This record gives sequence, C-alpha cells and structure tokens, in this order.
Amino acid sequence: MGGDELNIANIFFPESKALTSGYLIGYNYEGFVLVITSVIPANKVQSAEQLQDIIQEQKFQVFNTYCASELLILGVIESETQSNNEIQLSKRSDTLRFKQNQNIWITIKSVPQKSKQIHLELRDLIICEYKYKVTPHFILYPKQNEGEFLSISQMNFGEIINRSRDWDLKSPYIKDNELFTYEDLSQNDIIVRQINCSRILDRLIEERLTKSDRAIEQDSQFQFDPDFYGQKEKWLRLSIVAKLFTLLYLIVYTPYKLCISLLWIFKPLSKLNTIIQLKRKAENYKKVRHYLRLLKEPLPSESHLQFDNHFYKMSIYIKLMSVIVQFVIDIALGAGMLLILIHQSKQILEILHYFGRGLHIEVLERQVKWLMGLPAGMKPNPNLDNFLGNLMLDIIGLWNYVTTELSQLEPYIIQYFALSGVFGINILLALCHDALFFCSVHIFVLYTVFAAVYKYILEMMGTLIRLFRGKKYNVLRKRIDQNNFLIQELYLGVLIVSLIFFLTPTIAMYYYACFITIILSIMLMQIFLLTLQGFVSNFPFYLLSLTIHRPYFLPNSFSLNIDERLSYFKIVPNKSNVGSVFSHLFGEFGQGFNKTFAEASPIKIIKKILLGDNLFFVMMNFLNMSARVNELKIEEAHGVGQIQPPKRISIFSELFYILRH
Amino acid sequence: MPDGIADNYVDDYFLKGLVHKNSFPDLSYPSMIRETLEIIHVINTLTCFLVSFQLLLDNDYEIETFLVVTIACIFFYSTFIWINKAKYSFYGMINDLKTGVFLAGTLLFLTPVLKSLTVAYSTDTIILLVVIFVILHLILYDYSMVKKPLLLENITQSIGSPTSLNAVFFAAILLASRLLFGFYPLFRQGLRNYSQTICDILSVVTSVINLFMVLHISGSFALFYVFLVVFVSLISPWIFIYAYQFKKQNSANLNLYSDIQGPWDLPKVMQYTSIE
Repeated sequence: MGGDELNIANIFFPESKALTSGYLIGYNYEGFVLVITSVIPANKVQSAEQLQDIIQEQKFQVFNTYCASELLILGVIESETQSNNEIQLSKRSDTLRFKQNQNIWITIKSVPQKSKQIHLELRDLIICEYKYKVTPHFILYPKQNEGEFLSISQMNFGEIINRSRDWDLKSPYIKDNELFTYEDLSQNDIIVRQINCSRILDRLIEERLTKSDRAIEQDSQFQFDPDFYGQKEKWLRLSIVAKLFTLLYLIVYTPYKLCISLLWIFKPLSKLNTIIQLKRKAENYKKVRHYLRLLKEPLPSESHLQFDNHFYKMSIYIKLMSVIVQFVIDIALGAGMLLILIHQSKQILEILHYFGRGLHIEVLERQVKWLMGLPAGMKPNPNLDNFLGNLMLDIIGLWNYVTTELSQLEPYIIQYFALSGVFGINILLALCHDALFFCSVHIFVLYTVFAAVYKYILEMMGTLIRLFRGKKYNVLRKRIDQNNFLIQELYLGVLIVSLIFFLTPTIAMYYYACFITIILSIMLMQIFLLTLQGFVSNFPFYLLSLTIHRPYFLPNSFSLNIDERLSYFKIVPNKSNVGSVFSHLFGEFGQGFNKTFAEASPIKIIKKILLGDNLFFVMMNFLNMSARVNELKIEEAHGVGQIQPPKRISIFSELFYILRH
Repeated sequence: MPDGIADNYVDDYFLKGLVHKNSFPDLSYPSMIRETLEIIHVINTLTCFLVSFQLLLDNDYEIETFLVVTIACIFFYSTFIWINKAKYSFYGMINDLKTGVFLAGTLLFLTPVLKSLTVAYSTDTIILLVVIFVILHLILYDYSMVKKPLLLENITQSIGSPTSLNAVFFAAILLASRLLFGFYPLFRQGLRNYSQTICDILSVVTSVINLFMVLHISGSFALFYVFLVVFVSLISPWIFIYAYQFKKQNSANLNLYSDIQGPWDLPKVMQYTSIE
C-alpha cells in the first residue's frame, strides 16, 4: 500500500469528502504516503493559520503517538464546479502565504463524473519547496459508522471477548494485532491506524469549529466516551430491540430474584442440578451488575490505549447484552414448553414411557429371573445365584410399591413439572435431569452394592494372587516384594482365592448384565440433557443478531478494489467473521467438555467399569459441564487492576437509567 | 622365537592348564541316579494323591484309604520328631497340633461352600485345571530344597517355591484332598539330613507301593507309571551324561571358554528370602 518508489504518491482519501472543497487535514507518515482525515471547507474558517492553531490543540494531537505522525494541514482540494468569479482556494493570498511555511503541500482537483462518480487529480505535490512530478494513486476509504473500524488482520469474537476477562488496562489488548501493539508496526499498519482515527478527528474538528470560546475552554482535554464516539456513555445507549429485551429482563427480574432468595430452604439438596442452575441464575444477576459497573467505569485516557478501551468496552457490552438476551429467551422458551406440556401432557407421558422403558421395574425383574436360570448357557454358582437373585427381587418389590402409588399421579407430576418452565427452559431441563436420577434410585442403590462387592472381590483377588506367587505389596516402599509366608497362610490364602475364583463369574454376571447396560444408558441420557442445557445457556443469540444487523461491527480485514477507468482504488471492508461466533461458542463449550471429559473419557469409563468403581460419582461430576470456564471472578478482577473497589449499585436503577437514555 | 618355530605357533597345551571356575566335572551314572530320586519322590507324592482321590471317589475303599493316609501321616510325623528330637521341643509339638486343628477346622468350616464350588463346572474342566496346576507344580518345584539343611526355627525358608506349593494346593482343593503336600517335603528334608540312604530306600519303597495302588485302579496307568519312573531315574541320567560329553568337547574344540568366570563378570545376586 505504501509508496516504495519515488514517482508514486499514495493518497488515502475519504470517499464521502471527494466532492468537498477546502483544506486537507491529515497525516504524512513518510515520503509520498498521505492519509487525508478531513476536508474543512474554507468558508468555515477564517484562514489556514486559524485552522492550524485549532489542529495544534491538545485534543487533536492526541492520536499523534498512535498514528506515528503529527496532524497537519496537508494542502487544499478544489472542485471544478467552482464558478469563475471565485478565487480558487489554492490561489488565495493567505493560502499561498501559509503554504510557504509548510514542508509538504498538495493540491488536488476533484472532477465530478457521470453517475455520481468522482475523478481526483493531483495538481502538484511540493515537499520542502520542491515540486515533485509523481504518479498519484488515490485510495478511497469508506465512511464507517461510529465504533466501526478497519483492520488488516482478521479479528474474531472469541479473542476479543476472552481478552476482556484479564486485560490489565496497560498492555496491548491483543498482542499481535496492528491496532493495539506497540512494536514492529509496518507502514500499512500505520496507515490503517490513521484511517481509523480520521472519522474521530473529522467529527472533533467540525464540532470545534461550531463551539464557542467558553465551551472550548471547558472541553480542551480529550475524553474517551464523548470524544471518541461523539456521545456520552455510548455503551449505555441501547437500540429499540435491546431496550425491549432489557425491559423484559427488568419485569421478570424481581419475582425471579425473590424465588432464588428462597433457595436457602433447599440447602440440603444443593447437589441437585436444579438448585445448581438456580444458583447460577443468581450469579447471572451479579454478572449484569458487574458488567454495568464496568461500562460506567472511566478508563485510562492514554492516547495509545483509546482503541484498546473501545474493544474492551465493546466486549463488556456484548457480554451484558448476551446475558440479558439469553435470560429473556430462556424464559420465553420455558413458557413455550409450559404451554406444550400442559396441553399435550398425555402424549409427552407416552414419549417418556417409551424412552424410559429400560428403567421400568418389570424389565429389571425379567432380567434378574433370566440370570437366575441359565443365562446364555452360562452356569453360575447355583447357591450364590439364587441368593443374589432373590435379594434383588425383594428390593425391587419394595420399590414397586412406591412406584405403583406414584404412577397414579403421573399426569399431575407432568403439569407441576411444566410450571417450572416459568423459570426458564434451563430449569426445566435441570428438573428433567434430576427426575431421571429420582426414577433410577432403585437401580443406583443396587448398583452401588454390587459395584462395591465386585470391587472388593477384585482387590482381594489381586492380593491373594500375589500371595499365590509368594509376594506381597510393601506399603512402605510402595512396591511388590518377596515375602515369607507360613504354610498356614499359604493354605488359607489358596482356599480363599479358590472360593473367589469360582464365585466371581456369578457376581460379575449380575454386575455387567444387570446394571452396567442400564447405568450406561442413564449416563447417555444425562449427557444429552446436560448438552442441551449447556447449549441453551450458552448459545450466542445476541452475538449472531449483532453480526446480522451490524455486519461491520468487528474489523475483519478489507479488500482493495481497483477502478481502472477512473484510476483509483477503493477500500471495501469485509463483514465481521460470523464463523468466529460459533468458534467462540464451541471454544467455551469445548473447554467445558475437555475439562469434564478429561476425567470421564470413554477409556476411563471402561476402566472404571472393569475395576468396579462407582459410576454415580462420575455422573455427579458431569454437572460441572454446564458451567462457563475461565470466567474471571469479580474478586479476581481486582487483582489485575480491572475495576475500582466495588460500590453497591442497584441493578434496578442502572437498568432503568439505560432504558431512559 | 627359537629357530624352526613359526611366529604364529600355538602350543597344544595353551590355556589347557588354565583353571576354570566353571570347569566341567566328571559325571558318574550311579550318583546321577541318586540325584533323580528327589524327582521320583515328587512324582510319587502326586501319584499317591491322585490314586487316593480316585479310591475315595469310587466309594469302595473310603475308610481304608482314609485310615492308611492318617496312619501314614502319624508315622511320618513321629519319624520326623524322632529325627529332630534334639531340636524339637514339646512346645513345637503343641504348635504343630494347633496348626493341625486350625487347618482341619477351616476345612470343616468351608466344606459346605467348597462342595458346591465346582458344581457348575464339568469334570473335563476340573481335570484340565488339575493337570495344568500339577504341571505347574512340577515345573516350579525347588528340587534342590531337600539338600539344604532344615531350620526348625525358621521353617518358612524350607518351603521352597511358594508358587509351586500353592499350585498343588489349588489342584488339591479342586480334587478335595489337601494335606499330603504341605509337610511331606519337610519330612523328606529332615530324613535326608539324617540319613540319605534311608531317604533313598524310602523313595524305592514308596514307588513300589504306588505301583500296586495304581495297578489296582488301572493297568495301563500302572504301565505308564513304571515307564515314567524308569525313564526319570535310569534313562534320563544316561541321556544327560551322553549329551554332556558333546558340550565338553565342543567347548574344547572351539576354544570357547565361554564359561570362564572371573572378576570381570557382573555379580550374580542371590534371591534371599530373608536376611539373617
């Protein structure tokens, strides 16, 4: 992009100002590379000297470090449509006088073409009083909305949002990105920075020219929010749709908060998924309050951190709105499910009976009776087989008594379940998860006993086989050593090992054939419910809608179009990286999955089954899957200098304030 | 070099006079037969056990078999005490009695369970398992154990290979017969220390008795038993001596004194079962 050869001048020009005549303000980084940030009509200023004094004010020099050059008056642009009676701006005496003291001066002529196109010509380029003959390349860049910028590198949402968790307000926001880094900047990086600053400077100069002297005195320092965006508290000004969601959030907030505050009643049941999800809802309120506080907090005003501040605030805003939108959608889906469950309770019951038929007591009874015969031609130890089978049938009979009473209340149970949809579909799914475990109590009790027996038998077998070989586990050295055994010990050991050797197949048969298949199917159902739950909790509804209605919200590089006829280039920014929304979602999900399934991968599950470890504890650990990972806690945020010591703010008042804006 | 002798001359007696640590001793046939008697003892013990089991299973000579085994055990135990009377105290006998009561009591307690243990398994499976464990016992048995002195105060050292012992215990449990294997080797060890001749005579006597017992059950098995004993005690030493000369000759011809051991060898660590 930059001009490497002496006879080419690269001039970056704002497309919206191409037909305006006036003074050119911008940056000259080096050589024949010029970036025009503003075109000030001559009638708005008294003279070029006055304009020079204005742009020398502290407010307009704030981006000098960031853009690696000083903001200057670079020249003038004249339009061919000027009448013959008017003196051309470049020929005026004050302009000529001013020009003499400038190191660089360009004169551009804009020639309107048909169909609203423009043709720019470089009349002359004077550097240090020497007029150069150059070939100009005009590169037009578009006018973007407030808060939208260009970048060379592709940005993704995950990177930006994740960084907001641990940014220390001093270091570059993203180390390798040209908009933030302090080192190894190329010429193209500087040019992009200058283009990004152009809109801000153009607005500031326009405002400056219309202000009174008193207002100028009061407003001489650059302030992040009002000057960077042109309005105070930009991130607290919501669109109509966002305000609607926030209003719904406020309406639901109070009753929800009251219900959650009653959670102390369920303290003994704190391991249940429903209680965990309700507690997480309570944490969401804290998040909303926390994000509101962060959005209102003033940020450091160092010039090189302005864009870092912008992306940081953007991340906080996205997180705030994501929480609010997700909450409202959660409630809406829950209400929808409530209606479906109430009106279609019979059909829902049939579906549940179909999928849960493996948990029915008759199925288990049949299985046990099959094992008490000659299951698949195997011959278990008859005495032990009868004992275990009758024991299981007795326990199943007890549970049958309970379920018989409860089955009469099934339609009412479904309806009471449906009422939980008022709290959101997340809570409904959590209740289903807990109901699944409640319906499997009889299986878990029996399974726990059998798993414990199986495990102890395996451990005894291991010890006695070592005794068989004349070895023993040395607990001091933590290794297996030779040992002297008495003949009585050997004899007794062999007796017991022969007992275990011949009885283990019978116990293993019950353990694997009766329980493992059922437990694994319950586990799969649990994983399905938790995945659905996590998906609904973490789906980026807001972020997706943002990428649709503001497609240039996040810089995603740009392309350079060439108009050969008119001999200019045009920068066309690319739309935001929508794929990064899903990669952010799956990144968060993936981290949660990795963390949980690191402890419970298929291979580890198989190992636990073979060793007789209780899978119930593994299934309890799965509840951590729905938690967001790597979320910086509010207490930790103090440590990295993110926020000031906490002030108590009312979420009600803050949200009302946003709605009134 | 003196005249007439080539530079690469090697004398016939070169290195032949070198004393080897692992030199090849001369083997004699009678001493080898005597060494095989320990193997015969172990075979006899197993045969006696299997025959006793078969007799008990047939229900024809239940009482006689039980009586003979009991009397034989008492006889062997008495002999053992008489041999070691100098070291064996009254308290030792009390301990042995307690061990006997303990083992018998455990057996009595577990008999109902043991009875139904292998009910679901076919006879072929049990026979296969017994054969496997008996072979394991024969392979892993410490045949040099009987040459070591018997230490009454630390009798666990005399057990030999515990895996071998446990294998035959397991086989015995499978066939519901136990006591013959735990203490009989100790008795033989003590007897050998007392008098090797008596031990050898005992080996011959038990072989003859076993032959009659096997003959009573099956003629072909008796023939097989005779063949086995003759092969192990008479034929295999001859085969060993015959093959041994080739090893000696081969090593001498190729000057492969690979058996030379010296201070440059890695130390061989003995597997001690206890440190005294």
